[in-house]
Amino acid sequence: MLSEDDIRKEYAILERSGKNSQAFGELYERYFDRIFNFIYRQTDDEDLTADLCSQTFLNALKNASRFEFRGLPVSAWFYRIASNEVNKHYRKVKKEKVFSIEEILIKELVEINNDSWSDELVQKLVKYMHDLPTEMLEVLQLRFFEDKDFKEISYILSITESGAKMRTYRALDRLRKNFNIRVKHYGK
Amino acid sequence: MGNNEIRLRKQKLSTGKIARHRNYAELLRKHKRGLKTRHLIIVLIYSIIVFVILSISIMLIRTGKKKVSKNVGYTIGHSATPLPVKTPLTQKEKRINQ
Repeated sequence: MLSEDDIRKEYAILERSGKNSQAFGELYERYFDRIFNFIYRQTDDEDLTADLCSQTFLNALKNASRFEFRGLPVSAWFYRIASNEVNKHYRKVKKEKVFSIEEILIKELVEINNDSWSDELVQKLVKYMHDLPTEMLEVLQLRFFEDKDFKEISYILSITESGAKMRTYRALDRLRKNFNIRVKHYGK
Repeated sequence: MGNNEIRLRKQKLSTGKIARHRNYAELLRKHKRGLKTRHLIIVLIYSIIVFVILSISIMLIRTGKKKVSKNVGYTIGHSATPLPVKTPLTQKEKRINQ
């Protein structure tokens, strides 16, 4: 988590970027990998991810002077733009959304002994995720795979904080009931 | 029910693979090109606006002139001071003329 001082420093860089595009490079280098991974988890296509990621940073640079300080890290704004770009892409191609998740992240989410893991259980979890609505998957992705707090999630997805919490808890409750397992994270 | 496809990956994307796509110079180039295009569009829009305003004002001036010339013709035809009307000469006037 960034301290308020760090957040203000990043905001100052963004403010400078409005007049001098070179200044934006620091933020680009800092967040490129995270945004790339975030988009890749929703596309599973490297070239498409590269395009959407480039478009995300291009939009951020273009609108750097319009960014309003709300006490959130600048990265939350990048995630928000990236999320919008991904949604725009899926609206355009009219295909079902892909969530490509690393097996290790699913294993981290659930508290189980390493020996108890079986392919069958993993497949069941995948099936469970497949049955979840997109809104819940988006929240779960941000909460557990991107490690965002509810305030940031609500900003990224343009929903209320209580809405973000509700979606997460509902998804986790279903997970607990269906699999009779303990979920590691339960909100900050 | 969801309408999503869930794919499971064994491994995370390597930093090397991601690094292949990281290119800030290219991003800046695109940004500058975008700015140029935006400026060009603004200039084009302003030129179109100026052109439209000029054509409208020219048209207005022309129609104004036409109206004035039409009005002039009307005043001659229906002048307030009547034009002299030729009346047949009297016998006395004929004698004087001879």
